[in-house]
Amino acid sequence: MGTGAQALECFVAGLIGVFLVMALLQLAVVFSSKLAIWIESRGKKDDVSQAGKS
Amino acid sequence: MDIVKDILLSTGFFALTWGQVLMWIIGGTLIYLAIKKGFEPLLLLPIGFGILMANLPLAPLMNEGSGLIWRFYHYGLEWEVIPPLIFLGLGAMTDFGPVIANPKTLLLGAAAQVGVYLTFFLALLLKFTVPQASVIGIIAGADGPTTIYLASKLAPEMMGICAVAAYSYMALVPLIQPPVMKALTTEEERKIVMKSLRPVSKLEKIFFPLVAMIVICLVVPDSSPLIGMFMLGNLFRESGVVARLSNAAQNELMNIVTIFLGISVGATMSAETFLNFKVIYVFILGCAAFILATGTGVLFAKLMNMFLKEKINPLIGAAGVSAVPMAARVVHKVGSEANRRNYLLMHAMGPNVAGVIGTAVAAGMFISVLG
Repeated sequence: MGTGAQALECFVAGLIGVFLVMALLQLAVVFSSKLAIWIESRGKKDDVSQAGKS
Repeated sequence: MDIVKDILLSTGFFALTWGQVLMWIIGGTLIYLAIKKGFEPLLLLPIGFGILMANLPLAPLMNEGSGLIWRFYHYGLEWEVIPPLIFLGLGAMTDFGPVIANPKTLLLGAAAQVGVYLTFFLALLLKFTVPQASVIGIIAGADGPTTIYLASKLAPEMMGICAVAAYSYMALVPLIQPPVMKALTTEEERKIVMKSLRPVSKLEKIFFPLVAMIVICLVVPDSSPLIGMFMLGNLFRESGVVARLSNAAQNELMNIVTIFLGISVGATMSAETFLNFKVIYVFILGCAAFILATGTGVLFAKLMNMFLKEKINPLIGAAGVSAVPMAARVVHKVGSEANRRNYLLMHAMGPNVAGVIGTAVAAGMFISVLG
């Protein structure tokens, strides 16, 4: 592969890669945050119901 | 008489070259900047001393296979051990709360990496090879360990100079960034006040390193040594159950590997490899790299504002160059100059830590194409 083609491949693959990773990470962070908040709120509900029973 | 002559010839005086003396001056200048001016002293001081040691005539410090510093260099850098360990410590020091609270800022961390690729092309125009240009480009990420890691993989001959350029310009972030930020934004844009970030729970912070490592390493497997250790360090911090490991990664381990990193990088800068015109080009390109990365970050933030209901202050795009937390502090300072009610520090920490991830990913992409 020539230098020009290799440089172009670095440029295109690099930019796509960096933005793709960040876009996917953004989605993953949003999803994992929602999951964490849901788990925590469920834990709180369980605590409240346990306290009510006792 | 012969004995006296033999003794004299066995000393370094007769083997000393002008190039080595010049390198002493360069090493001495770095030590001066570290001590007197406080420029990145943790790195520039051992690098400066490493330069002095590597340019002592007849001293067997960098002899392949037997030299003391050569062993540090070989097992630490050529074996790619030290940069990932630095990332472990950085992970243990990093709070990803601002990114989790405002995940959009991850894109700003990516935008600043456009500066990496623009600098890469500038380096190619100045007749550097593609691997050398990639190492010069990554200076724009303002991340020393990543620069060193990429150089060790693709262009070891560029390691010393690119590391010195990266650390020197990182110390100059408060001088380099503000003019670029002001040139690319209007007074009204700089005045934009951003809403306070929501609180982030402990469980969200525990999930982040796990999720981030899996996502990033699936897309760019070559970034896994840096990202894996970065996220492990962060999990140590956020889990709250291994305070000893977290403290060790942040303090003892970080300090020890910093010593070996600095001295090994400095020792790669012998007169034969360092003294050529390309070094001047690297310093010019390094400065251009910081300017371009700052500019692309700010411009991308302005672009994002076209689509966002709740506008962001475009200054925070400048923090996409890593240089944690210096770049975020600069953003805060420039923002508060425009509007005293503006408190941008935590908002800028989002793109700032995203920039660390972005630079490691950009390095991984270079390795996957060129490695």
